[in-house]
This record gives sequence, C-alpha cells and structure tokens, in this order.
Amino acid sequence: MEVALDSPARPIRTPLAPLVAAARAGDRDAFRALVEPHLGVALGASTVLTGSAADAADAVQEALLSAWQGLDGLREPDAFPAWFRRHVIRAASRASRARDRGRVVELDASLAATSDELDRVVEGRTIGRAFDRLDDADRLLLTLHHVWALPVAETAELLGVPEGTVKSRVHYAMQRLRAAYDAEERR
Amino acid sequence: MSDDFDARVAAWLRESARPDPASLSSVRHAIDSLPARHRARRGWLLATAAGLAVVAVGLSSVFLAPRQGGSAPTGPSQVAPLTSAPATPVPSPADDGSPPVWALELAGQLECDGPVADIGGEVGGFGSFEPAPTPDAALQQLLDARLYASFPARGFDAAVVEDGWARHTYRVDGRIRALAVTTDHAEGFPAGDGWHVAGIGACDASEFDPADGLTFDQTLWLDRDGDIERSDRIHSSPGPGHCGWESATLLRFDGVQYIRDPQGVLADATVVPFTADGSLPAGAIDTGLHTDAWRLHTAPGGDAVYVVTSAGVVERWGRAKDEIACR
Repeated sequence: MEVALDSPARPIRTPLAPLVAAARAGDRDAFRALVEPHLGVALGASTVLTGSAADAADAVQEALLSAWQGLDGLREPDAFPAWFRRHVIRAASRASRARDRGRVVELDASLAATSDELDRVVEGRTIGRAFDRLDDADRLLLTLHHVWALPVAETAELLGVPEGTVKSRVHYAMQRLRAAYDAEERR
Repeated sequence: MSDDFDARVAAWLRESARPDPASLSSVRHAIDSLPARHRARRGWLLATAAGLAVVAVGLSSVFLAPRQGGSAPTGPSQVAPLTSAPATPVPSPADDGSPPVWALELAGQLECDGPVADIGGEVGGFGSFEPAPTPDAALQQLLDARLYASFPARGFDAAVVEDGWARHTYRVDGRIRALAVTTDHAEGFPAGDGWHVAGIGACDASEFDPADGLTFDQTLWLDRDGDIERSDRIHSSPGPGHCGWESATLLRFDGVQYIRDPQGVLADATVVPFTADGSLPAGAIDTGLHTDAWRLHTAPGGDAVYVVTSAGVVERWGRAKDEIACR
C-alpha cells in the first residue's frame, strides 16, 4: 500500500484515491484497507444505536455491502470515510427502527470488583435505560456527537440541518436524557 | 447525579461502543463474502450456455464421472459453520432491492459435517439463464444445466420468498447441506422481468443423499467400511470431452492429481505412464478406498497410485506433472 508523508509534523496519511480506484476495480483488499480504520467505531456506534451486538454486526455488514456496491457513486475519494459512515448510519438506523424498544446496552455487574466500580456499573445501567427512552433522532444525534465525535458541520450535513440546529438539538437531547435518567433513578 | 452528567454520558457511550471482538471478526470476515464487483455485474447479465461452460471448466475438480453407490456418512459434526450467520436468517432487503445480508452469507447458513465446499459462487459469482417465471423455475434451470460440480441435482425444499429474494434449501437429516438464492432484482433487468439464480453454496458432495444425484457427474469413493469418503479427500471424474480427454479419468487423492489414461491422450502429462499389465509393487498399501470398479493402493515414491480393477487387473495411474484442466 502506498503511503505519503504530508509533512514531518503530520501523521502518515494514506491517499484514498488509489484505494478507491482499486476497490472500484473489484479489489477486496483495497476495500478492506479503506474500511478497516472505521470498522471498530462503526460497529461500536451501531451497537449503541441498535442496542444489540448482533444487530450491529448485521448493520455494518449491510453497510459494507451497500458501500461496496455503491462505490461508483462516490464522487470524491477523499470523502470515503464520511461516505462510508453514511452507509453505516443508514443501516444502523434501519436496524434500530426495526427493533422492539426496551433494549439496553448494559454493563456487566459481575465484573465489578469494588464498590466504586459497582457504582459505576449501576450508573451505567441507569444511563443505558435512560438512553433507551430517547427517540431514534436523539439517540442518533448523541451517538454521532459522542461516539463518532463528528464535527458539528458534518453532523449538520448528515442530518440535513443547519449547524446551529445541531448544537441546540444536542443541548435538548442531553436535557431529555437527564430527565429520563432522573426518572430511572426514582424507579 | 453530579454536575458532570455530560461527561459521564460521554464516557458511558464510549464504553458501550467498544466493539465486541467476535462481532468485529465476523464483520471483517464479511468482506471476504462480498460479491465480486465486476463478476457480479456480469453475473446479472444473460449468460450463454457456452459462457457458463467456460466458468464450469474453470472450476477445479469438476470433470465428473457417473456417481457410484454408497451411503451418506453418519458420523458426528467435525467442523462448525464457517460464519456466525443464523441458520434461519431474517431477510432484511435494502430499499433498493440490493441483496439482504443473508443472501451473501450462504456458507454461514450451511450445516455441514465438514468444511463448506468451494463450488464457485456466492451472490453474483456466476451467471444465470433466461429469466424464469418463478424462483423454483430459475433454480431448475441451473440444475438442468448440469454445469456445476458438487451440487445436488434435486431434492430442494420449496423456495421461501421475501421481497424479491428467495432461499432454496437442500437438507439431509434435517440439516442444510446446500443452498441457492434466486432473485427478481437482477441488475440489468427491469423489475418483474423474472427470476435468476444469484448464488449457490454447498457442503461436500459426500454429505448429500446419493439418491438425489449431482448436477455434474462425479465418482465418490467409499472407505474401507463402505461409507462415502469426503470428495475433498478423493474423487474421480472423466476427462473433459471438449478437450478430447474423455477416455481419461482424473483422480484427485489427498490433494494430488493422478490420471488413468488407457489411450494415452495425456501421456505427456504424467510423471510415469499408465500401465495395465503390472503387479502391485513392493511396499504397496491398500488404502481401503474403493468404488465398484476400482480399489486404490499407494506405493513408495509417490509417482503413481495403483488401482486394482474388479477384474483383478493392476493399473498404474501416473501422478500429473501439473494440475490438468481443460481451458
């Protein structure tokens, strides 16, 4: 794989255009090189969105397929990461909508060895249940913001809303999450 | 709740988003199962019988002889399915008619006793014929063509159809031993144009019911106890007629090809020539592998195997210098 060093002060960056061209020609290894840096976070974000590791894996596999088949539609090779992310988000959102509600990504209390850890586990479960109370849009927004750590501009583009709207939606989503958390604590 | 609620939520999200290693592995594995981009496009186009013949010829070990008797192995499972795909997948086709994930993971749905056979096709891996009016008719076209090795010739369950994709299963002892996927979303054809075979997958031919036959003639061998030996260990097949080799028999045994060549049509292709008037050499070992016509012996040196015919004639089948295949 060819790599280029932009400058001594910058990290090594792999040019994407040759990989995209090779992948378009049917080179799976090139496609693998394109997606590999993103698979972990894609799977993790999908897990949060769907609440299921199995559904997340299915969603990412669906995204891989749609991206692979849709490579000819990628106009700017350097935009591959964002473009692939859209495939993942679409697939994970579809899987999330298809799931029954009531799923929670839980931490395993059996792994907690100290009281502090147990507190953290319990709090995590409460957050999880509160997160599950949010609607699809809020969960997607918070996942994009916290898991993918997307810039506001890219989140805005993804959701088709102004940047200012993204900021306000994150703010209100967090308010709703806190309210849901408080409700869970009172249970 | 503390004032650092945002930070705690962010930490919980990051922790919850740690990818499960097994899921990550299965996702990576899925890349290997993606359909060939260019082959996929060709696969959706009408393929001529001649074109398919070329594809079939390109597959190794597919020149097959009439299947001979024996019963299916009944031993315990040896190898788990290759992927974690569910045995009964939930179809989830994309909005644009692209294949659902289960249509791409045929190998993972098989319930084989041993490794999945490499018979050359997941979705898009090969062509189809004229559009068929139903999924079952599309599958029948492929079966009737008798071009692909190691695929049952009959005995498939009725297709399960959902959203333009159909799954055809072939079971022995209740377990899925072969699969086919058909679709009416074939690229290059108008919607509703008809059904095409989109992919096949199968266990080793030794796991099929012998009564169902194969889509391509192949001789499976029996072991000492009379059970069918796996075809990926041993099988034989006639030389391809379109190369003029039909008088020869190609034997693949433990990864090595040997040739029975009574008319010398492949005389230059073997390390030692075929003979039919000899005796078993010193040190020959009866493998116990046999058909109705032949019993296989190995001998020191490995330049040939020795086959004792049902008439008691000892034949020497030379080892191929290079893998023989008719292009």
